This record gives sequence, structure tokens and C-alpha cells, in this order.
Amino acid sequence: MKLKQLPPLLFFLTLLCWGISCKSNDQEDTTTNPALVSNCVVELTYDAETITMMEAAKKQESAQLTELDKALLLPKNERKLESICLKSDGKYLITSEYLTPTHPIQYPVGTIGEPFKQRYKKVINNNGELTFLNALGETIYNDGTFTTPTTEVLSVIELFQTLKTQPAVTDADFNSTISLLAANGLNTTQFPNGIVAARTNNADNSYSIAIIDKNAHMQTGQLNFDANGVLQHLFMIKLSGVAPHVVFERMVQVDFINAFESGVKLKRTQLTNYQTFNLLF
Amino acid sequence: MKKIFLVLGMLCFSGVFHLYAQTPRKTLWLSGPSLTSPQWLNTIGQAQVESYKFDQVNTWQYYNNTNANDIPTWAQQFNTQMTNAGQTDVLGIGHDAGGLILRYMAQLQSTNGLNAIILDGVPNQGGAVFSKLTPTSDGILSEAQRLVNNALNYRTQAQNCVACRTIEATQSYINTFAVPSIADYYRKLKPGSPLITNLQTPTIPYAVIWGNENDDALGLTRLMSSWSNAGLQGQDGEYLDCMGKELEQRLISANQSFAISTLRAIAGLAGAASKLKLSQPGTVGAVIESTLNAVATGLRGLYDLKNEFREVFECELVHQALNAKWTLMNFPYNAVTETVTVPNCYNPVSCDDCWTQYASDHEDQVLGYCLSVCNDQICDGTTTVTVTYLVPEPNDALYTKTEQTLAGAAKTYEAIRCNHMQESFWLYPTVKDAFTDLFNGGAGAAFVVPK
Repeated sequence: MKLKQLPPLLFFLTLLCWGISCKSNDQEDTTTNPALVSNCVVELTYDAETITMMEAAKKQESAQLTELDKALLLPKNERKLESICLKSDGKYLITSEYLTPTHPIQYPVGTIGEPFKQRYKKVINNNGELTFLNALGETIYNDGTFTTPTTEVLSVIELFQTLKTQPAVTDADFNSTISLLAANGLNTTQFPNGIVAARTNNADNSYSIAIIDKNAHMQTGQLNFDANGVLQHLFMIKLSGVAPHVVFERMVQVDFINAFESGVKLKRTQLTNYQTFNLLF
Repeated sequence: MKKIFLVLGMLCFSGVFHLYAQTPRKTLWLSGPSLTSPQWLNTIGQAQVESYKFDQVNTWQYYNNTNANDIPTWAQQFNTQMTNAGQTDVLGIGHDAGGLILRYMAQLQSTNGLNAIILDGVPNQGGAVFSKLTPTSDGILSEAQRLVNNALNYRTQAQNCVACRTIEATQSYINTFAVPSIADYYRKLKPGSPLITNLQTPTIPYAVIWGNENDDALGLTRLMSSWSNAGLQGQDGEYLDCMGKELEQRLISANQSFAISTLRAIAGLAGAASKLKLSQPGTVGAVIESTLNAVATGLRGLYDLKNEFREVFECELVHQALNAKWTLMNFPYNAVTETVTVPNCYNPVSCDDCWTQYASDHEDQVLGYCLSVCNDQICDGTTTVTVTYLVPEPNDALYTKTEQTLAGAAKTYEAIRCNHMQESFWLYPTVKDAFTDLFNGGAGAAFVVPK
């Protein structure tokens, strides 16, 4: 009788060992991390903390937000360590790791509208193959893909190589370049403090305004408009130095979405503070 | 030598006696209809594996068509069946509406042999959720149906927000409550309905297990996973895992593309200036043309990337909203106001002025310039921001704690981190612990099931 009970007993013991809580444990399988790519020709690392806040785009419309809409406006704070390594053959290794923010915002479990929590601690992108790891360094899943073509990476590398091997670009060189581009079809408007706004139109009638800082020798922002001329999103970078030897200090990103219930236009602002920013090439 | 055999013989006899001395306890395991309750089969098997000895009252007719009768009618049928069979010392174990049948049995007749009842995830005070799940009359959408329709409409903004068809699965579940016969059954479970108000406090010993789904704010999505896994063991993570994976992959791809685009932004124009500086007179035009193309392509690329970010966010938001609205409309909640610490960043020039100006003249390039100046932010230490958030009453994603509990219970157990569909599976430690304690006599002899 006891022997007859043994197979189901073992079966249920297996189930019991598996079921240690209400959560199905999907973090058990471990695999070795992908081999690291070495010999970066361009390497960028930064430690950045981002706070995300949402509000009605027009303050006077705040009163139209429903209780649900307001519940979904909770601020979120996260910190990431990002490392990008581009190789001379166009291959790349990008790792993103979540760190504990300096001032984490914690809501009680079950708070209505609590922001989504990502389940991974780190992502390794080894030449297009994504591997998601948990806090123990175990692979959670690795079936993701990433589609930056080699040619894109090679063209970025080429730009850095040009800047590394050729004489430094002066303010006069840069001004001359912007003038040449403007004379050949780039729609630009000059503003004080060395700011140039350049407009490019897309085939679908959407368009972008690039903000170029002539003092920094680079694009420091962009505003994107849809075909109806409605602003969709923007970002602005605050930096020090002159390209390519720059250090990012802060970045503001804004995008607009409609509130779920009232339809009021919401402005989502992400303010990123760079704790460290190292660019090697 | 004879003495040794005698001792061994006595030991064997006492062991055999011990094995067969305990009379199995008669039990009646009742779950609710399949929409809100998994069957007890898995748990019954597990309790037997744990060596608990019990027989079962025949429930074939009930499980063959649970919705065929209302709760008092089923109670009357079981009472007749058990009285005719001369049952005694029966322990009733009920989940969801199954617990209400047990309570009616105890209330309607005292000769049925029912001696104690375990009420697990039972809407003892009625389930307010059924006011939202069932239409007020046939042919009209229920509030829950309207919510899901809103979610599906909102989702169309996020064009590729498939998210493992989680919303469609929720819609399919919620629509079933609008089927007239099913709606009729569940309408009777609302608080204040005659069925609920006619229920009296049981006069036989009873114990309560109440579920508390407190993993996160995604109780509805977890409930949907558990419901689809009711034939297994009610695992609650499948939809979330699938959806999380889909969104995480899109977001990380966009983030990393943005990082590479950042490198292009740093080197792009300076690199073009360097090339132009070195260009031979005859090649200047080609360099300018390629730079112009690169600028246009780069800006378009960032435009698309930003759309991708927004779409992923909208996709997250719609699922957050679906769950948040489910909680808001079904469970009482408290507003909590707290201060949170954030970096103290401010603009020397007010960006509000830029937006105000833009609203009047709509000059896109002026706005860009204005924002580039006003966003010259200064960050200095930290500051505090007041945040108000809403915390719901503990619930199992279907019923609140208040609805599940019943004053006067011999013992009340909390099945923490369990949604409603998980409350009847011993896979979950808090559920198993509660049953083990009850069967072992932790709440009194009335609930003991021998081993």
C-alpha cells in the first residue's frame, strides 16, 4: 500500500518543492553570461538618475483629471549605469544596469497606479542579442533582439576616428559648416548665445527642429512635431565642454500623451542627472 | 528469544492499530461556479498525500452543473442527501459561493450532520464586485465591460501594444458575467441582496481564510492568469511575465538605440565640420550633401525612437489604468499624502514663459530656442515634493477583507499574496499552513481531520 502511494507522493513532493510561494518561480534557470566583446574603439559609460513626473500639459486643465487619471501620475525615480562599447568591425556591447537611486521613491505595496517595476537588474546587449539578468546575475530570459545595423555603428565609429585623427575643429570651422549647410538647403534660424534651430521635414509631413549649440559644436536638443504641427516630444541636453570632448550634466525629455479617462493632454517630463559621464575614443 | 518476538509482535500490532484506528472524517468540499472558483480536486489530492484521512460527501450533481440551482436550493439538496445518508460529524470546506451553500445548510437544518465549516475566500458579506461585473439589465454593458472597452480604445493609440492580448483575455472573462443566466446567479451575491441579508451567523464552529493579493497594483491581471490556470494550480504570473517581457524588450531596445544616437549627436556635426575642413574643393558638395542627409536621417531616427518610447509608455499606462480602475471601482481606499525627496533642479529662466509664448505665436523654432535656454537647469541638493496616493483595502482582487471575514470565527487566517483563484490551492504556503493548522486542531477539535 505504501509502495503504491510512492509515485503520487513523489509527484506531490515535487510540486511542494516547486511551490514555495504564490509566485511561480521563473528565475531558476541560469546560464553563463555572454562572452564580453573587447577592444572598444568608442566607449561611453555613464551613471544617470532619472525622475519622471506627469501633470496636465495645461495647468488650467488639471481640474478635469479624474481620480483615476491622478492616481496614474505618481512620480518615479530610477538610476542606471549604462556602458556602450563599439568595436572597429561594427560589433558592439551595451550593458544597462539598474542601481538604487540616491533617494528612492517607495509606495506601499498595492498602491493604486503604482508604476510598473522592471523584473530585471541588468541587460546585456551583445551585438544584437539581449540577455536580461536578475539581481543574482542569473539569466531571466535571453530571447530578445536589438536591431542596430552594423553600418550605423561603423558610421559613428568613423565620425569619432575623424575627430581623433584630424586637427581640432575650431568655432570658425563649425560656424562655416552650419552656414554651408544652411546655404545648401538646411532650414535654419539663428538665435542669440550661439543657438541655431534647424528644421527638417519628413515624408509623412511630420517634422523635427534640431537645436544646435555652436559653442558646444553639437546638437543639444530636438523637438518633434506630427503632421498637424502638434508637438509630440522633445529633449534638451545640458552639457559642458566642446564636442566630442563633452560631459553630459542633465537631460530633460518631455512627451505628451492623453490621460486614460478624461483625455486631458498630459506632459510627461523626465529629468536625467548624470552622476558620471565618460567618453573614450 | 520468545520475549523479543513478543515485543516485536506488540510493536507491529500497535503500529497497524495506529494506522487503522483513526476513522476518516467525513468532508464536504464545495467550490463556487468556475468563473470565480477552481475545483478542489487538486487540494483534495494534496491533503490525501499529506496523509489526512477523510471521506467525501458525493458532490457529482453539484459539479455537473453548479449554476443549475441557486445557493439555498443547493443547500436544501445537500441537506436532504446528507440527512438521508445519516451523515454525522461532517466538516464542510467551502470556497467562494461554495461557502455560502455551507452556511445556508447550517442555517436551514440541524440534522444534516454538518458539524463545522471552513470558509475560504467566501463573500460572507456579499461581493460588491458583482455590481460592476453584471449589467443592470440584459443588453446593457456592465461597468466592467465599459472599462475594458475604454482600455481597448485607448490602446489603439499605442499601435503595437499587443501585450500578450491581456486586455482581450480580461474582456472575454468579464463578458461572461453578462450572460443572462450567469448574471442572474451573481447578482444575488451582491451585498444587501436577500440571499446575503438572510444569512445568519452560523451556530456551528466556523473558521475563515481570507485572501490578500498584495504583490503589486496589478491584481486584475494576476487574477486573469490564475483563472486561466485554474485547472492547474492558479499560477498568477503568466500574463504579467509575457507582457513585461514584451515591453521590456521594446524599451531596452529603444534606450540602447538612443544611447548610440547620442554618440552620433556628439560626433556628427563636429565630424562633418572636420571633413569639410579637409575636403578638396571638388568634393565639398558631396560632403555637404552627405552631411545634410545624415542630419535628416538622424533627426528622423530620433523622431521614431521617441514615438517608440511613448508607445511603450502608453502600453504600460493602459494596463496600469485597467488594474487601477478595477481597484478603484471595487474596493474602498484611503488617500495617503507623503513627501518624497527629489533632486532640487530649477531653471534660471522660467520654461512656463516659453510655453505661454508658444501658445500665442506657435513659432516652433522660437520654442526650441526658448526651451534650450530655460532648460539650462541648475541642480542643487534635494527638495521634497508632496505626493498623494491611494491605498486600497486589502483584497483578493475580487472581494475585500471585510467581505470575506465573518465575526465570531474560531480562527481567521490571512492567505497573503494569494488572489481569489489561488485560495484553494495548497501550492501556496499561507493557504496550506491555514488548512494544516485547522486539520491538526489549531482552531479546535471541530476542524480536526485525522492522519
